[in-house]
Amino acid sequence: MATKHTIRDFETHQTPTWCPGCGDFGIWTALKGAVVELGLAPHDLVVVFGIGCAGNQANFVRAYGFHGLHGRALPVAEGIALANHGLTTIVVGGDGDGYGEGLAHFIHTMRANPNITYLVHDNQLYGLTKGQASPTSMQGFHTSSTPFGNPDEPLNPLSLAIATDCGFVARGFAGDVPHLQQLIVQGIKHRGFSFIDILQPCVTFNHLNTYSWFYERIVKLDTLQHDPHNRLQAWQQATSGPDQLPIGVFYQADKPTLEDRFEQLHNGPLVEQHSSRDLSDLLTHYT
Amino acid sequence: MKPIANELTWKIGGEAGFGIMSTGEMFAKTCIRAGLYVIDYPEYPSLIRGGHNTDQVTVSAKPLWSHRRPVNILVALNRETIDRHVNELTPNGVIVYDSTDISFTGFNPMDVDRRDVHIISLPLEDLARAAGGQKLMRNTVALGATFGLLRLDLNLPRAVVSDTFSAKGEAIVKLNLGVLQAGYDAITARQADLFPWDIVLQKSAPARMLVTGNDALAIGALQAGCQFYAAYPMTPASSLLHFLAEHGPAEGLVVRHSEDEIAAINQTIGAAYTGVRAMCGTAGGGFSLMTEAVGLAGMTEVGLVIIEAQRGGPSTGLPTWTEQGDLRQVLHASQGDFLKIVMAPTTPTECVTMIQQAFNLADRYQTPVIVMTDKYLAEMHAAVDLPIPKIPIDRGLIASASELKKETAFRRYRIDSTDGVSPRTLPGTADGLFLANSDEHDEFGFSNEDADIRLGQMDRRERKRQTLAASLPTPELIGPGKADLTIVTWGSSYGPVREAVQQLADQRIATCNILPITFINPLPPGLGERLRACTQTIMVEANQSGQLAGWIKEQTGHDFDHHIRRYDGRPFDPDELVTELQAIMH
Ligand SMILES: Cc1ncc(C[n+]2csc(CCOP(=O)(O)OP(=O)(O)O)c2C)c(N)n1
Ligand code: SF4
Repeated sequence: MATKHTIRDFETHQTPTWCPGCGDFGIWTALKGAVVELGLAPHDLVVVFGIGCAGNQANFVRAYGFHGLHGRALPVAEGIALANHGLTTIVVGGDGDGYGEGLAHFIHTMRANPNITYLVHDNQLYGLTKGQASPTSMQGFHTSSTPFGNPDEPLNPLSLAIATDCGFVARGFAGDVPHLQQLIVQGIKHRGFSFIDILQPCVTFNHLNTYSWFYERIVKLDTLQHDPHNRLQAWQQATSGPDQLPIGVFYQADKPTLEDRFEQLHNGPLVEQHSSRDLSDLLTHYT
Repeated sequence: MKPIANELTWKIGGEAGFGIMSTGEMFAKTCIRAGLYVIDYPEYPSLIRGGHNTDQVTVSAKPLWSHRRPVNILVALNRETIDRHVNELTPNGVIVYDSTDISFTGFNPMDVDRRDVHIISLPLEDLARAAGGQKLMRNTVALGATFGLLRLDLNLPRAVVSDTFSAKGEAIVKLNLGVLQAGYDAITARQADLFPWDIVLQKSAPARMLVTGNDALAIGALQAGCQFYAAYPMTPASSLLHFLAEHGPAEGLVVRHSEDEIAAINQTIGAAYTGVRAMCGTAGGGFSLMTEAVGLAGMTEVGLVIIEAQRGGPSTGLPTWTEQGDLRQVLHASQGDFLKIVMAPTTPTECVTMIQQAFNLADRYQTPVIVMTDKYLAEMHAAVDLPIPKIPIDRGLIASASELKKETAFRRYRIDSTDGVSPRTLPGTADGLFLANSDEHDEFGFSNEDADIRLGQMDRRERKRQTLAASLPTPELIGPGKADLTIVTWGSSYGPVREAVQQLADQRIATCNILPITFINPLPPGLGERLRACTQTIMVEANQSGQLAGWIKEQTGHDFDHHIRRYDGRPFDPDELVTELQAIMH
């Protein structure tokens, strides 16, 4: 067995730039804890980040990192997963990033089901651009882009994922790191696309959905006799809000991954395969 | 033998859905196997059923550079074909029309306003049915009649028809062979005698394949070791996706039909970052969607190949027609300054080699390489000599384990790199961790906004351009060193220009040479001096504003004396070019 890696091995020398008290710290801690718990080595881990406060974590996680475009982390990760399915691929982004700019990729990546774990730092607004409304902002919420109240209804990412038959749908809370760490561990272990929406207080801009607001509403699914293999129950729990916010695994189903569906990947990762070719047989079709 | 051997153009026309293109392909393939050169040019509107379709195949014993407009045999599956194309026929040309088609009800050949062509009425549908076939096989009857007129022994066409239908089973092959024979037999000896053209087998010709520009790119990409292709369908790039989707799996290639072009290029970047050779392809509209990610590849220094197959713009434009109007959008794609390598092959043969070069450059310079084609080149079929050239694969600089051991942390983006290129590692490599970062970054990839680091990274990335530009070959003139006129052109427009120049020389009208620009960014070194040394220069390109002429002026200061531009969706026509060039020189 290889040397056991520690939390320190997954930290860079960069100091996090988040506001003191930001929920992103808790998610960062849970992520490092999860990969250490799973015995991963930094060089076998690829983390793809979107753009936002969440994506700025790219500088603080020691692994192979890819800090891509706003909203476009998922397709980069899918390309990585197809090219080298021997790596562990995780995607980190924000709610604006994943449910606004990149929503189509979220839906289609669930359909494709590559073996990726997707963590969304859901602070219900745009942090990095200074607090505008996001797709998960509550209706009526006052922000710099919605000074008279947000006119739109919030998107429910969990029911969307369950409707799309995503094979692993979970919600965590940045204020409960041990619970979140277990969700991330389960998500990484799940074969296929694992989606974890993470309730994340933004202490600077979101004065509505605060830690205490969440503490009043959060319940653990484990305490509700929830069966994550029952899609109907999952739907009911996912749509139960807004006064009760269950956290835990809502839905889980095993199905073939995208990588499974490509026979050319059955003999090992694409990147390790020989790519020198003799095309003479193919070209005879054209003579 | 007849007076004119192995020099002719055959054209078939009818409604979309009549099997026009596949018949053209069988005719072209037969000519290839006869040892001849062919170029076909399909025309069709953006419709699935209805609308007028044609396929036109030019055949020659000598290398061909483009289709030719004068037609010798016109196969008319409907009346519209005659109405539209009768004036393209040469004297002594033939029209073969389907008298059983409803559009010919009440048609009188005497009404056709050409006394110098022969009009042959054949009941194509009846002949097909009599041979046990059905209406759909009319085109195969017409193909048989064509070879009757050309007096080519049916052995070759029979083999092509067999190969074409073999996947559909023996019964279908037999039916088609019978129908082919029926068409052949329907042509009388007198009709064949009146038609002065024929096809004669060339015994010693080398093996050739018949491929489109898109096929050629796909074949070249496979030869280059490409392992990942992602695309969202858009004419005229779609057939590249179809080719790779069909043949890729057996060659160990993964093909993704992505949800949109933004996903396609980001997936390609992910695959390329991981270490496989990766490519995406689209037309102008899809490329517009890709532009932000072109910059991402430039900033993270992930080498990938992007195919941009142009069609008439702006917006949805002319979906199935040709144009070279996307050059500026490609050159200026994405915000900020960074190296985008832009190349434009001129022929299917060049597509095979240039795409291999493109992959080498993508790896060597760790930056996006955009290979531009257009509808004309992407969808024309042409003869390509076998075996195909194989360019040795160069994966560029990858840091070795011993180099990595020497450093405490891997500096992926070393500012001290003199040629601008800094070795990479592939994810999974021990001691090679780095961050590929769309934000400006330090040598490790961490976000950094310090002015000196910004300048260091910008200037290093710019050094890649300088290194590449210095390594490119100086441009080569095609034709005599001294000429009355030097024609500069690019991409598929080269073909018609080359045909026109040949005609001007054959008819002793003028001496011209040609300078095709295949490296558009960076332009080859010494281009300005080369152009200034010419007697007169002209730019021939298929867009309204003179996009390449403007780019060359900006980069070299050279002003062209003349311009010929076309933007009606049609490729240049060699005969028209001859007239226009003559007018310019007088
Ligand atoms: C194409 C594009 N549009 C807009 C932006 C500006 N931008 C950067 S981050 C961001 C929103 C971030 O919000 P979210 O994804 O919720 O992440 P958070 O900062 O809250 O963690 C925006 C709009 C961008 N970088 N790229
Ligand atoms: S702005 Fe909000 S989300 Fe961003 S770092 Fe500060 S607290 Fe966190």
